[in-house]
Amino acid sequence: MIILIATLALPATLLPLLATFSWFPRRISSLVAVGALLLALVELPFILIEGPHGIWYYPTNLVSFDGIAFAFSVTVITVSTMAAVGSAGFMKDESNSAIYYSLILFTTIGMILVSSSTDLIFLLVSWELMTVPTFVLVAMKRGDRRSSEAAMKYFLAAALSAALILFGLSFAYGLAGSTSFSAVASAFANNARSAPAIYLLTAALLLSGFAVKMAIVPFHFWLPDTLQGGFPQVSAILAAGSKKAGFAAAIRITLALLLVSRFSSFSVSWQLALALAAAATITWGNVAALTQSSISRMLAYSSIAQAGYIMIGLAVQGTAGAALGLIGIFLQVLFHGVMKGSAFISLENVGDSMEDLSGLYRKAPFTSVALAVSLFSLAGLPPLNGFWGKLYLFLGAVQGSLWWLAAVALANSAIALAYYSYLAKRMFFDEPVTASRKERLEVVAVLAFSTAFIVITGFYPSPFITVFSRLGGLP
Amino acid sequence: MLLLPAAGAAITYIAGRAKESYAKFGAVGFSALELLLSVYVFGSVYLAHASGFIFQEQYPWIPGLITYHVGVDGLGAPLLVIAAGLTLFAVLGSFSEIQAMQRAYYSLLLLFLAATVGVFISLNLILFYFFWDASLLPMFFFIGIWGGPNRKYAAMKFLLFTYGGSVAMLLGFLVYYFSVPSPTFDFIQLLGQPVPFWVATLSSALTFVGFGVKLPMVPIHSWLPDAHVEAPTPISVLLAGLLLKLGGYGILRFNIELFTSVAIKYAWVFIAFGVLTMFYGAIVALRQTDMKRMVAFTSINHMGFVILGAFTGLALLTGASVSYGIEGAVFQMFNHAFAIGLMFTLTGVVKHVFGTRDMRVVRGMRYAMPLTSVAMGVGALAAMGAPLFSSFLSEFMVIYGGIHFSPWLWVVVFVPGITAAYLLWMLKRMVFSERSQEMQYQDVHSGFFLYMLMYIVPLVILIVLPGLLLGPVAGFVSEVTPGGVG
Repeated sequence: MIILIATLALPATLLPLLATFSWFPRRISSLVAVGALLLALVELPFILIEGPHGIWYYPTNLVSFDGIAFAFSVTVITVSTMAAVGSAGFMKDESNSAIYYSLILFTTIGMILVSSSTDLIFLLVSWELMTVPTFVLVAMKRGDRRSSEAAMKYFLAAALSAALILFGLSFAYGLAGSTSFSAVASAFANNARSAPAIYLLTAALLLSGFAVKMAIVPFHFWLPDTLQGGFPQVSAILAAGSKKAGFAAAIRITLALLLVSRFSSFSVSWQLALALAAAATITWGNVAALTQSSISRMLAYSSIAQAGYIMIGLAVQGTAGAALGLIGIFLQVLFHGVMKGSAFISLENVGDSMEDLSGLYRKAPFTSVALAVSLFSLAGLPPLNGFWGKLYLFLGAVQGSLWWLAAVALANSAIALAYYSYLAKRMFFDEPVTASRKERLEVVAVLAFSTAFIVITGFYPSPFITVFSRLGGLP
Repeated sequence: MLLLPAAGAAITYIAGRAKESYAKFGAVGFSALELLLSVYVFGSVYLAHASGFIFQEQYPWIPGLITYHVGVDGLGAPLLVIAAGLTLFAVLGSFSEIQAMQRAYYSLLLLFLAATVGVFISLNLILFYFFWDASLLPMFFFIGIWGGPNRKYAAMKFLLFTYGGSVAMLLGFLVYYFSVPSPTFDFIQLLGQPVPFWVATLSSALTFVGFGVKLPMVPIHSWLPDAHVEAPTPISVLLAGLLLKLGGYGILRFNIELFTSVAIKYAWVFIAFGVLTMFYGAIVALRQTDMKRMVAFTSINHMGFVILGAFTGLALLTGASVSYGIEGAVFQMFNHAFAIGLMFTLTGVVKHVFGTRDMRVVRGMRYAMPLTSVAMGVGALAAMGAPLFSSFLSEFMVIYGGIHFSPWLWVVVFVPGITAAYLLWMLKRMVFSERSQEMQYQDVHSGFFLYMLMYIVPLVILIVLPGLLLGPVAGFVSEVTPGGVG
């Protein structure tokens, strides 16, 4: 694991330093960053094959590269790679391209560490490592007021999130006398009976802090503005990458919650609260997406809804559907990451208004097909891979006796298809109204990868399902 | 069987890159091959003379959850023939009609064929759902890209209606999955497992909604007339001939074969929907002025027969008396596919020649368009179920079974009556009327006339040899209630 981090950290640190020298060819910084990310992707399976005792496994009190960490790391590295490749064109002539790529690498490291930390302090530090670079990334569209506003709003939301986590952390430390997850969990298990309220408050604070990042209703307000304001590539990282890392942390905390609920009088209510949050998030995201006139805002609301689907997987933990729900989370995280990343990055070739989308098939046939594939996959239509994550989550919900949740989520799939197919209608059935943009080559390359991935895993998701089901449950 | 059209779609698209006309030939070639294959499969089912699935194949797909399990029985086999046959017809009928984006069109056509074939042979619930939904997108693009003036609205309405039905169906499957003693999505293994009755009822209701949208059943039919009116002619042929059959197949396969107990206990509810659909389709068709819309409502009316036949037939099976209902339902689907295909092709001709399909405007076709008039007469007779065509037999069987089930169902004999009335009225207005001076007439050439008559050939063969089709279907009926009356 240390090698994995070094693979990314070394270029991340060196790039801005080297870029200060005039002899350094800035144009290669994109190549360096993409190379580092690809190398990291190659290293990942080795960590898995080596098993818990491999040389890259790093079992300390702070970090554990377990199944959850693996599943989320694959996702975030893939998404960052897509974003880095997709940025190569417009960053080529920017003076601070080295810094841009360095920040992408740093936030990726942050996401990997968040998904593998097993200690609350370490989690908080990783959390900031993940978040701080993205403030700059969002604000980087210089001279654009909307970008600054987006960054400001994002900053405030992230500050709120960190404050909530820190607050929860301090309670947890006070209760357990330690900040490691296992110590906190055993303190919950042993002592929660005596004073359930304070334990519940602790867990609620931590979960709310994560929920801001995950954009769970009612903590979702910052996401649409932020995603609309920045570069589409940065939005891809935020929506498809760092939102997911929040889930990794939330999964681990949910375990502690389950231990509390076993002893408290609030036994059913936690599950109910998570399930209600899931239902509210899915419904609100989808209904709000229906009325948007900006594509990136619509995608932002859709990603709120998708986070709600992942919440289903959390809500079924502790029930009979836990195993299926966990596979569903992993599948949804990885597949949705690629889909959403693909959709955002394709906006580089499209523009952001509905008018830009009209008649896109005539203007940019490849981009329009790729965007349509990712949209229908987001809607969960087979034979695309979005179907499988949802199928497993629904299976988990039904098996966990949360039938109503499965029914709400399914009904929402039908609502969601309305706006996804509206975009498809714009692209394929309408006449062009705005001038066409050039189809950027590097964006086409990213879309070619993501489209192939979506279709192939749509027909044959078994390798991922096999791996994810072996990763097993919580540590 | 499944790979052929799917691979064909890819090859057609690539070949069309070199020259647009290659795409046409690719589509003709692959759908013809698929037709031969499906006839071979049908022949094997016919000769097997047994119930149960043949040509079964099973591979693990998703480990521990879903297997790729396919097979054919007496219900799937005739529908496979429809699928491949009508696709071939549609491809042939597209040559003059489709000019834009031919490559995409012909490969989507083959993809659609692959998805429908997949539905008819799947023996796994999730696999079934997978193909079921995979058939939606090609149709969405057919209507939306190559359709008429109001195509965008029609395509969206089609997609949202049918997808709404799909999710209801999926929920029904999921609920059922977790309620059987050993959860499995495998259809054959599900058959023998007991479930609580209320679960079966819930699943049956949810899937019935899903299939009912496709069928379409009143009151969830309203996407169909719009979709038909806007779709190009060959796509209307496929829509009516093939897509609606997916719904009929689903009802027979799941609501009848899997949820048998529910279908028997609440037979009246289902039958009421069937009768409502029949009457509504017929009466609304009576007052249409657009010929294509009228034909579309005829489809609704004919699909009502399928519901009626299926559920009365099943209810009677247990009563140990002879039933023709289920056989009639399958037979009706087969006949309807070809008869309505001809009618839709004719609406395309009328639109092409006169620029309108308004039955109040178009007149005097018999003077200048003898071939078209003959085809229209034949088509109308086939669609109204006149003797000479096997559609007569199938409607007779359904009505006979219905009256057997309950004497009150004699009322449905009015439905063919109304159908005959409006189809004859159509003939009177459009064909046997005075020639109009303002109109330009132009008859179809003889090759196209032969093409139209080809639709009718299966119906003529089957009135002479109905056993050809009913034999395999009887095998299916004996599957439904093992040891029952076939």
